[in-house]
Amino acid sequence: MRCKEYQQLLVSWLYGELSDEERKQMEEHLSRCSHCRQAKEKIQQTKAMLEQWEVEEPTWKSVILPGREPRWRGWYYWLFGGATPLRRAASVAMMVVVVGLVVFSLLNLRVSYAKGDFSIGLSLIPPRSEVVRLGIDQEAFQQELLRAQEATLDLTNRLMLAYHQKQQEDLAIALQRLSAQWQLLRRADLEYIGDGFDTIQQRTYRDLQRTNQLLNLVLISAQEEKK
Amino acid sequence: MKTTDEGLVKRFLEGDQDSFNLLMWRWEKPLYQFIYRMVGDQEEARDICQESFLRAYRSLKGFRQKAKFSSWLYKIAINQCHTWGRKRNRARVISLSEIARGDEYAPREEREGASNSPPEASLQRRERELMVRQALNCLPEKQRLIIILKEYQGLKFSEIAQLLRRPESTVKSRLYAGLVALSAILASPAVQQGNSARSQNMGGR
Repeated sequence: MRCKEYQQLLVSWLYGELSDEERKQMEEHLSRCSHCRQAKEKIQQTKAMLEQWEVEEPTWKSVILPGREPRWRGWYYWLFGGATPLRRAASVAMMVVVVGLVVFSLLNLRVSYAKGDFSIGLSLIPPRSEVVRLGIDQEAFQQELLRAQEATLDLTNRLMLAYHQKQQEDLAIALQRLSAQWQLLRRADLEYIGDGFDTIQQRTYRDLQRTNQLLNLVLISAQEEKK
Repeated sequence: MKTTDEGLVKRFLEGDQDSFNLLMWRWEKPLYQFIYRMVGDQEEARDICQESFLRAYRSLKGFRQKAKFSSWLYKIAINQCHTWGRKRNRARVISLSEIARGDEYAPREEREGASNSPPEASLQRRERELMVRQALNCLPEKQRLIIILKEYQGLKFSEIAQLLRRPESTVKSRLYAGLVALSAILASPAVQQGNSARSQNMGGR
């Protein structure tokens, strides 16, 4: 044993808390160690000095007057009145946990609104995802379908009409061209009258041939358009 | 046969108010002396003592019967003394005469001056007493507490260890260190001349 450990033994010895065996050890050590011997004497002197301080006995006697104690006092004092660090730590930890739980459950707050049903859900566990079947309004859907069909029909009609009009326009243009040709021919005829009958006959024949050609052309184009 | 403290506690918890008074009468004297030695003022000591008993009365239901009642009571008193020490370290008002005497921790009756002239022997004893008190005030709080608990209250080392939640070896080495320091202080000329050393040890944990 080192001197440091004998210091503890020495204190126990001076206050009479040593077993016989330990006391023997101590006495043996004291006979060898002058440092500890000195310390022992010093402490014994100090103890003698300490005994000088006497305190008078209390001149009163107290009694408890029972009264109404606030009910929360018990746990409140347990948490905050007792100044031991362990309890402080416990109370702080508890508050942190409570605040944490509140915040955590607020994070998982779920507010839902469906068809007039309003509900608030507060849960510690985050809400799980789920499949919701949407209710279909059959009547509205049918109407929507009808409207779409009508729109399609209308579009088709308009397309056919446009096609028709285009054809008519083309025909009108062709006829206009034809009549213009005819008028031109007519003017030329009037000019050629003065040239004599034979010339007229020859020209008429040529014109007839050209007219037939033109008519043929018109017929061919009409047939092609029909295809 | 005298009922044990624990038996009285049990009876109190069963609804017998008087058992607490019995407990209080049994422990008032040692507890008051302990607190007086810790704070050094009669009136303060009486207040702290009564406050400690009140705390004990209020929280006796929460008292786990594992520990001895007296240990538990000392624990409450120590806490109360610390609370008092913290309060005392705050700003406060004291009378000028206390400062003039230079020792605000001296007992009140001394501060105010002894009215009846004591006999010679008693005066000498008083001087020595004052010396011890001043020397104790110079010690660190932890050592002073253990010296008072051991020397004056006569608690066993195991009880002190349980009370302070420290190993017995720590308690013993602190006591040793405290006693050695105390002998050094008592031997120093400043104390021998009776000069008061103002200390701020109390209340610092």
